[in-house]
Amino acid sequence: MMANPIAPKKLGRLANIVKYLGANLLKIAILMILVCVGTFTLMANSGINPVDAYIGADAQLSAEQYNNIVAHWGLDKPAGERFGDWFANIIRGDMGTSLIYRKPVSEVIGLKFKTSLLLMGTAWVLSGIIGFILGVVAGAYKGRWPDKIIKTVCLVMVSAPTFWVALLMIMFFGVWLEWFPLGLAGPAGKMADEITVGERIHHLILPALTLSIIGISGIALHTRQKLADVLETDYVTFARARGESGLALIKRHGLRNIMLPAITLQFASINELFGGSVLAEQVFSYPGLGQAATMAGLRSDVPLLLGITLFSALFVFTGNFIADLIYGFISPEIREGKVQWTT
Amino acid sequence: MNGKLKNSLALGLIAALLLLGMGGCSSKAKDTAATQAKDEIVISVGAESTTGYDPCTGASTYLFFNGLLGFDKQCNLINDLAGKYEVSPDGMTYTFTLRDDVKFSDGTPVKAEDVVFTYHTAQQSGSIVDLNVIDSLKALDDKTVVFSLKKPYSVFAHIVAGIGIVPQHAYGPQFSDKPTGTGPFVLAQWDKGQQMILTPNPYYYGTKPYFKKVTILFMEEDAVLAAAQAGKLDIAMINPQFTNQSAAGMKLVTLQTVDNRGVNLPCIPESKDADGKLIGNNVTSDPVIRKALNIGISRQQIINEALNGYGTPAYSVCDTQPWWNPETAIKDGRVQDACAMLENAGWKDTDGDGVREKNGQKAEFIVYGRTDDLQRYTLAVSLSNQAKPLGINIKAEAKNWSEAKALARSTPTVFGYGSYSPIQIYYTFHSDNIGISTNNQASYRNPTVDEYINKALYTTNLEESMKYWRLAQWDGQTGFGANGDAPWLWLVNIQHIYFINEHLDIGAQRVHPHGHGWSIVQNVNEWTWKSQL
Amino acid sequence: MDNVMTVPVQKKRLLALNRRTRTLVMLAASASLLVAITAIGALTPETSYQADFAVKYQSPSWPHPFGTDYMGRDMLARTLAGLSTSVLVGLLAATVSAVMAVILGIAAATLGRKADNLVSMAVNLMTGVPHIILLMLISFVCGRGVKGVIIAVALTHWPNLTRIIRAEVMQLRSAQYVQQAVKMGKNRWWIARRHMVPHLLSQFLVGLILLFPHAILHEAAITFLGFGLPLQMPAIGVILAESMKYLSMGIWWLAFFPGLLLLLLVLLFEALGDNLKLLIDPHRAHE
Repeated sequence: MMANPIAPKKLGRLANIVKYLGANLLKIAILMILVCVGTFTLMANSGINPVDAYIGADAQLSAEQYNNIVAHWGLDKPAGERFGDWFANIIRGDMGTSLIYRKPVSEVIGLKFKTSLLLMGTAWVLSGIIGFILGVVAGAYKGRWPDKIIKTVCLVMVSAPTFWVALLMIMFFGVWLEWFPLGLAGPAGKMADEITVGERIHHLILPALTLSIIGISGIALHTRQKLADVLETDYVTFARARGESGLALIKRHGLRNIMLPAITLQFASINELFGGSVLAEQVFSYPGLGQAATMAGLRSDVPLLLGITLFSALFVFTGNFIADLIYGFISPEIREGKVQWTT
Repeated sequence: MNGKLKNSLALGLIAALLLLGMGGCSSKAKDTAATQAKDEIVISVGAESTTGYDPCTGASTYLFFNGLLGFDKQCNLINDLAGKYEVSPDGMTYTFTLRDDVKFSDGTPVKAEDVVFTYHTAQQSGSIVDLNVIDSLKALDDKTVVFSLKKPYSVFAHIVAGIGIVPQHAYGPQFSDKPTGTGPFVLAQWDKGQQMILTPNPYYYGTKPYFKKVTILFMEEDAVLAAAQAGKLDIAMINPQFTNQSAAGMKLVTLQTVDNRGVNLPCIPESKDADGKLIGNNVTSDPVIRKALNIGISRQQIINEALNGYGTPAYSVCDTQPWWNPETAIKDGRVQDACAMLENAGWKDTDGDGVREKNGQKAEFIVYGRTDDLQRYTLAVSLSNQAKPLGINIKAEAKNWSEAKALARSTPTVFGYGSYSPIQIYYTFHSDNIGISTNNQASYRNPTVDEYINKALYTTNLEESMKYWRLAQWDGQTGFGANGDAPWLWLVNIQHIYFINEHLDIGAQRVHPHGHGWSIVQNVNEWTWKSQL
Repeated sequence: MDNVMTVPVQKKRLLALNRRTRTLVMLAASASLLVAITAIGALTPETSYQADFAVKYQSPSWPHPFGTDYMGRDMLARTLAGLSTSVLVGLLAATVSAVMAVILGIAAATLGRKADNLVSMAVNLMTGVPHIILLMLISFVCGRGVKGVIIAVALTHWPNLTRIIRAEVMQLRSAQYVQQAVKMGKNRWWIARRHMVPHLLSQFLVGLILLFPHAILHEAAITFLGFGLPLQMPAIGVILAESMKYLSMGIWWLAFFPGLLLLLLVLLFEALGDNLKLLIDPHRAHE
């Protein structure tokens, strides 16, 4: 009886993928630990007085009360001990209490993240779609004027400060044309459950558009290059000789090959997206995680800042992981175990 | 790409934009209609509280709470939840008796045990609530609470007036977001980062509110202005820079405050303290420089430039408060007098660069404003302009607040104070407070003044304490006022400026303390439409 | 007539410049423009953008082509001064970053597996935390202000360049002509000098110049948020942060011009870097 020749190969492939993913997860875990150690050490050695964040800007205290506060919040223990306490809590999911909001850091992050997610998600999708379309157009017309225009636009988008673009958006669409509101996540004076979906979208458009600009150019240029490469290959030349042209040609031979790198790039762009949302939220008064990070930094809320750093690192690593996941399942090299999985 | 595809994409985009534009327009119309409804108002009065509404960790009593005592329109102490109170002759025992008709917003009566609970919780909260002077407190019966102090403390009544009473049965970790109190309003809904919605407390014992729904919005200053102009707000707190704007149907109202801004002038020469930190300033430690600045600058000019004219000159930390000594209100803008004073004291401009020197020390120093408060930096710049004609070179810089506070003992910094309690005098001018936290940043020490402050604090009679607070400012020969040692350069009392719906009557207001625009809500329960009066 | 060979005629050009010359011209132009802006900005005396409350809020006109702000300060002078501050801060930070990148990149490629893993781990770490958050964190820890922003920007821009240099060195080591040189007995220093340095130098220079725009934009960004240069310095981030308040009053010039100039500055740097790359990158010098 012959063993099924296909099955072991499939299992082998699966094993390779699992090995690849496992190694990635391990890498993430190590990196997260390093982020923890790194950020805490930075904070501990910064000479920042955490009591300040707590007592507010102009409060006056007696010496007794000052010592009370220090003791209450454990601010007088040595750094090593504080790290140990903090890390033990982090593992259990307890990121401490925010000095500004006086709530568990995890709660603050959870709340703010939900708000940011809508904004970042929309921007992410927008930048992916617009970037892809622009890239395809540029690649298809390489060297000619649509390509030149798109390349210039991309260059300008990448070189323009995000927060300046946001300001321009507000000035033009908000103040001058009055098409869109100047900020917040919903119209003023409305109960949360009365805000319609249309209104939410209305408030979301400007910030999302601004934020999406960051990602568009990267994807567009990358897609353009890949499509241009594909269009110069032999099989496309052959297809052209057979009479295929235009959109049909691209759809048939080009898109599939360039979609994969585009998607991978999309996931890797999460890093830039997060950074951009910090700026966009500040300009549009959008109450998300980016704004919380800015506040935490400005007002010396160490637990919250640490928590957000960890969370954002995790978020980015997850994004990269998903990108690697897609590659792992689709790329034949990894399936065959031919690729070293540590980068 | 296919022309057809391009066209349809473009059409789709235009359609989407049109739809949303229309959506936006109609919601605008709806909002205006809503605010015209008779018993609802929408206001924007300042930044959102990030710490919530828990009196045990320092939240003020506005809107949701009452303390055992309160303040009248002239900032004098009056009874609030306590129908009566007595102070023992030695000033160390305070007995409060609760009124019979006070209930929390859930209908339960206020009992003495709630008071005890509130104070105990505050003591253990590790917050800015400072109750270290209390030795013990207990409930004698359902309605009576007795406080035993460690020493007589004349400002204890002021402390009590600042602590809202919370219900023991309804207190928990979420309390600061969902408070239950005795005040005129209930916090019906709070959308963090966006708005708060208040509804009346049916069990409030005082003047019941006319308005059935008060919406408080949180927005950036320029968004507030835009909203006011669009008719979406009944009250909008306005930055002085925007006062040349107008809003249809609204009038610009300025409210007096004791919210002041001043600069500490270190009174000791430069040196290092025990921890090696720099303290003292070689220029401001000369009393002549401090005096010259106080009389030489024009506070009104600074108000015109930095605050667009919206403010009043400040001569002390407590202008207009019951414990203020009006003799400290010097006449300023006297450039020639100031210059003469400096010349006679040996500060002369020997090298013709416009800056005076004495014994090789140039009359120049830095003044810090906060990086997150443009107004303070602008004040510093304007002050610098004022000091130039006197031959004093002030360099205005902005510094992050934690750092500025840490350096304040050597570098003059713009601070803001002004409260309903004279305890600020103790923290700012008593020599015991030198080096404690950010108290007495001028490192000021005057034994006579210390005496008066001690007497004021430890007297058993509130009236008498007022006398001593005033003597500490100026007793005819010395004091910490601008006409005395002048350890501070008080500049302005800012005004709180609002656009108010011209049909809205906000009643009589106490002078506002430090704390930006929120203080206007002190009497929301008294507000009504003018047509109703 | 149809099968007579047609001799290709050189297309008539206006200036008869070949590609190399054009690139040189672009290079020179962008470089001199950048130096000019920086110099003008740095030499602008503080008095030209002093507070003059009497001329608040003026819209663009003579003698204030960029208008004035809420303290009556001339925006043109302030913007130029701010730009040159950004360039100088960017210069310092980018240089430090580039040097770090070269050292780490070479170390990763030549000092063995362990070093490579270590450097790669560090690169992943730095790119894992979103850049702005990392900048905020480091600046915060270093006390914000000028010191904070320079340290933060300097310490966070090396990862990308490190990757490039590492890849370049690795590629060089396995290049045919290098292997030949080894076989011919040339010692390591000679090989390094003759073969590697030209490539690396070009990567370093180009990398440094292309780092500038990133450094400058990031410095402006965190200054805008409040973590960077202080209010009294005429930094672009400061100017744009202040301008936010006045948008709804219709005072658009406070935000428009400074940002536009920053954009132009960044574009100039990119033009400089790209043209330089075309000229000196051995891979592309013959395009």
